[in-house]
Amino acid sequence: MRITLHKHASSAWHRYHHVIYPVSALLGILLFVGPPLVFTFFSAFQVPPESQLFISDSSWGITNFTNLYAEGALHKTLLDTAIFAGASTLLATIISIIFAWLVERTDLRFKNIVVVGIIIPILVPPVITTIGWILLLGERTGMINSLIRTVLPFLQSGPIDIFSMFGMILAQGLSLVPLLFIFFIAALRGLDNVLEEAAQASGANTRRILFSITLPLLRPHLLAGALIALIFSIEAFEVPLFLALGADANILASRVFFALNDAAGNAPEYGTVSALGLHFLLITSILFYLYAQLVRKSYSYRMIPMRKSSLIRLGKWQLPAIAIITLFFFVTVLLPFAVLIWTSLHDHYIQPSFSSLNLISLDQYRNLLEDSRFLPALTNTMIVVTVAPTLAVFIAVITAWSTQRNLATAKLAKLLDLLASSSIAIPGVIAANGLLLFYLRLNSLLPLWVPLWGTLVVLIFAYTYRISIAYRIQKAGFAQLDTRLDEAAATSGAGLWATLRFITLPLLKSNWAGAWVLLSLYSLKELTLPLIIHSGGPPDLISTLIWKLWGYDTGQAAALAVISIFFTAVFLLGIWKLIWKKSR
Amino acid sequence: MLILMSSALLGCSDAQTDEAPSSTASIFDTSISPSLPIESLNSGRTFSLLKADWKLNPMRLNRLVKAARLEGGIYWSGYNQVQIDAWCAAFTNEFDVPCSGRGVSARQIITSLAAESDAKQPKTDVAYLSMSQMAQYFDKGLASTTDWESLGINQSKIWSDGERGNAVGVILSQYTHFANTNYIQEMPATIFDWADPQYKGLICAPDFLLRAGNGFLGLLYDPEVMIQLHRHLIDENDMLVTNDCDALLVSGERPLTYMGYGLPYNLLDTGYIEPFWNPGLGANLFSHAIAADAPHPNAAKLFTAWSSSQRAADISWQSIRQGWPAYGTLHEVAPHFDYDKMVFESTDTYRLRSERTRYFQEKLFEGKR
Repeated sequence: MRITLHKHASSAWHRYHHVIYPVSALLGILLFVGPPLVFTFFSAFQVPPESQLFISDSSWGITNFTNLYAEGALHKTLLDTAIFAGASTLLATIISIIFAWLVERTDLRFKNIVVVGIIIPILVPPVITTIGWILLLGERTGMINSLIRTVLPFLQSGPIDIFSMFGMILAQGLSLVPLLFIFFIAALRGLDNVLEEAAQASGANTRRILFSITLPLLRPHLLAGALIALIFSIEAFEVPLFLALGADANILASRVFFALNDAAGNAPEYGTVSALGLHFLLITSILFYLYAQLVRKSYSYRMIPMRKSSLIRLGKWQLPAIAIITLFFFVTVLLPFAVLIWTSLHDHYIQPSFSSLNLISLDQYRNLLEDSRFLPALTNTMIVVTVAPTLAVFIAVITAWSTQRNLATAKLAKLLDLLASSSIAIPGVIAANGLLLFYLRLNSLLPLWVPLWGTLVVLIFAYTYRISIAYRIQKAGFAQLDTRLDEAAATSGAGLWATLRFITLPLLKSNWAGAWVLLSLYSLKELTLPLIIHSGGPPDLISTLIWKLWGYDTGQAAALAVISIFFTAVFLLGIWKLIWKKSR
Repeated sequence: MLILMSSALLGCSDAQTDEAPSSTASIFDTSISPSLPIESLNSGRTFSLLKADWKLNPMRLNRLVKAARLEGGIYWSGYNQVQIDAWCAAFTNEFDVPCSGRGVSARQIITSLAAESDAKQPKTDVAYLSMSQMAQYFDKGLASTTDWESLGINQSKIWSDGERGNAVGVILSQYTHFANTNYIQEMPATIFDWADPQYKGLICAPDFLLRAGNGFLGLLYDPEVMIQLHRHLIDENDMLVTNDCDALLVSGERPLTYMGYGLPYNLLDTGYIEPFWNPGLGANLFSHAIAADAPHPNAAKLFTAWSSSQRAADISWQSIRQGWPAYGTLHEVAPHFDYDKMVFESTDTYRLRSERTRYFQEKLFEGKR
């Protein structure tokens, strides 16, 4: 419903509010989402491939594409990435829906603990979990493989090889479970189980109900969740970076990294990367379009629960269900964390044994604290994970406000909605390449006394490109909020900005605060953007420092990983106390 | 001397070929096929014999120190943060000139330096690079030309590539294989012996070093044979190629590292990781060059000149066990280290070495990575 202008508004600010806010939102989005798209697109057509955009000794052409098709083994990249992303998504979807169903639809015990245990891995950066997997799933000495061989002594080695496509799928798939679990929990909560109860009353068993009623009703949500997980898997960076070489797999992220950092000294192939990126951008855009359609369709399956649902009794399956969830928690959280702590208490990873207990020391932590890069990395990380999400949430709120409260014209609202939602479809490695080119060009045009390159400012702006995550949460929030409150405020003489500030935002606190926390977590875990944009140079962040230390000091890398996890937990606890507890 | 070295290299290789224990090695043509005259492959060894220390007359030194202090300090880019911190601490202690730097992996350092230059945001005063990577630095026009002799540096340590800048050699180090002696008792004597089935599933190769190191092997052996051999190592002997092998080596997961580097403390201090060498492994000359757009040129000159001194080499040796052998650290290297087996980086070899690396990478990985 259109907000009515106050009759006595006299300033230009009030008169032209329907231009200022939407246009500001548009400019904000274009500033952060525009560069990766624009520079990727144009760079793909600039030759030679090592050219930067818009410099005089380059030209336009399709050579980057023809080279990719002729020599670049594009089909292997597409195939390997499809297998990796598809299989890890399938694995994550199956595990997540089972867990979500157990929590939402059954009388599973210790549900609160179970939910926390499944979600906790979200806190851990993928660079840390991948290192943990390498130590746990070594074919010969990995702890998990050693345990399996204790039970199955006829196995000579393995059976799981982390440096294989299977190992990569396992690592990536398990890392997606927390996100999909939250997605499916929300879907199940929105589904009244009256049909399931009716089926049960008619004599259908649990399996029949699950496969004939629950899953078909959940199908749009399942597919939507799977599509988002697929997009995340396509752009996955840490797992391919550490494991793809050993697995002889040609995954998008690792291919981009090696094209930009060539061992033989060839110049970075920006054009090739951009041409490759456009192929994947097309794929992820289609996937995102399908996801958006499915989300829209899923509302027609939504049945608002009118009463408390009755739960399916697990009976003798109670214990196996808890055992499976405990196993998941053990394998994805406890073991990787334990192996990291163990490694951090030694100079390097040694197989746990009683004899190696006497080698335990805190030297790695001491060395880390003395490392000149540690404090700057910690400080830089804190700055980036607070400023970038604030910027992104601010723009997302203004954008959602403009589109959901009819401040923008219909066409502008549609454009804003599309742009604000679309950044999720840009794979991180492709965005990083585009942003690298953008900031190189921008910096070369600025006077020397305006430092941009090599500073946190570049990273803060780069991290803000994931604005769609914040936008979709704000959009949902605004959609749920009754407009009568805004009308009442307008009738009482409040301007739009005052209404937003004193009425809407406080009511939507859980939305914008939740989005801020989510983006903060993403920023904490981010390795793609800083590693590609700054090519290993400063400024150091915790994630890039872990990457560097892993190259020559496993013990210190593990120590920093452990500190990083505690830091994340303390950070989140502090935020929770600040935002949620205060609001009670 | 050259004849002796050539004989040693040839004799060594022939001896290794004769001693090659397994029939697998005989699948390959194990004869050496040098791309350059043997004396060229060994010419870089003279760097290891240069004992001349840095000597600058006190008046000139004082003037340089004053100019450096006025500039505010230096910033340099190298590979290893531990070395950087150690050198910076000692330099600042000696001259009261602030010093800081960043360690960037060998794979990323050239991209990082080039990007910094492309962004027109000069930060690096001094770049520390291997000869091959320094050549890339020269090629991109990123280095300056300095009159190093007037700053007290021995002429033999100075090298250049035409008119595009010059550099000062400061550290010598080499590729090294490693074995976890808890699991490995018999180490491969030649690179062909790595193909022996007894080593199947036990080998890890750091990706960057595998590629870069084969630039040296390709100078001594037929490059095509090297590609066949390494394809066999990956496909048949299950050699794992990954970013870093240290954790896998020490844990015993992959108790052999093929083409590791240097003599790192974290490996050798375990007591059960042994370094060893095969004929054809490379020895690098690491050099300093002043950036063409160095913000602090006088501080950069002072730092570079000082880094060529025995004192600086000793500090580097103590921090990361890479130094200047002529200053006396050679005796600390593992007892069976043998310079006669190495192929040396020099002005004769570095260009062709880069070409061999490129060729190896393109053929082995077929342009996919």
